[in-house]
Amino acid sequence: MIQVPIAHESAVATEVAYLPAVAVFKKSYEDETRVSVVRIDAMAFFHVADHRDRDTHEFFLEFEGRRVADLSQTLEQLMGRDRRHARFNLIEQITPGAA
Amino acid sequence: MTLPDPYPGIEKWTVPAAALYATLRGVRPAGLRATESGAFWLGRRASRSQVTSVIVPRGAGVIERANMWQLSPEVFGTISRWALTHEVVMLGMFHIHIGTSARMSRWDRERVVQVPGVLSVIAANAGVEQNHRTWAWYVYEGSGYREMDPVERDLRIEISAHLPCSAWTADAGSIRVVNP
Repeated sequence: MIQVPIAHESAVATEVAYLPAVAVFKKSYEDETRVSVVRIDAMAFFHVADHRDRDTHEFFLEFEGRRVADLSQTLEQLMGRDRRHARFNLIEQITPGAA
Repeated sequence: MTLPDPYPGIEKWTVPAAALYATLRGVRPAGLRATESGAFWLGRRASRSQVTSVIVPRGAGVIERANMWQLSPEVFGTISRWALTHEVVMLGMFHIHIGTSARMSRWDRERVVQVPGVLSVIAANAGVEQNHRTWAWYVYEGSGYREMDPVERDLRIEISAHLPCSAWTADAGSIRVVNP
């Protein structure tokens, strides 16, 4: 009997929500895509950016209730091999500077 | 392909009187302690937007001091997850000042969500004044928050005596309904 390897589907339907935004950022990524790419694309979609005034403003992605600390990991590493959908929240962290 | 606008323009906000009541009730304990506090207004965003829920952050992840109201990112996370499942977005925020001024401080301008159309409403005197016309109503427009003058405020902010509004409290870990 010939065994045919099952093709590994590599696309991950990715969604990112941001609290004040009506629209959700949606894009399909290869599962080898780094999470940092998703963050950058989502920030562009929501017209926000990391910046500094007197404070430091940084945006991070939250996945399943937890902050994604390692942005260099791929979607596959974050979610596991067989998951094809990823839902994130984009959240701003403001670190106060010196008064 | 045209991407959807995440922040469609808003001509008018409808705020139930019940939302104002829930907001003031939520911030009152902090006001009595002479510390700042605040609330988020969430609802449906459209040309005519409507506030449908008030969330008062309280507890873990919330700092209430005499001159500062600050939330941790985890509190934002709690509210964000809840908003997504309830199909609402953040329309504005309300907070109290302990002193007599309702004007935005630099902190108020910089340490808040900064996207088009978001309201920032400030009540002076620890929120004891229930007349919303005594509050300062700001709207974010591109480069910063702009205070509405009384004519614009009355034109664009409609207080509805009849519409319902749910009330919640949130912290870094959970969100809970507030019984009326």
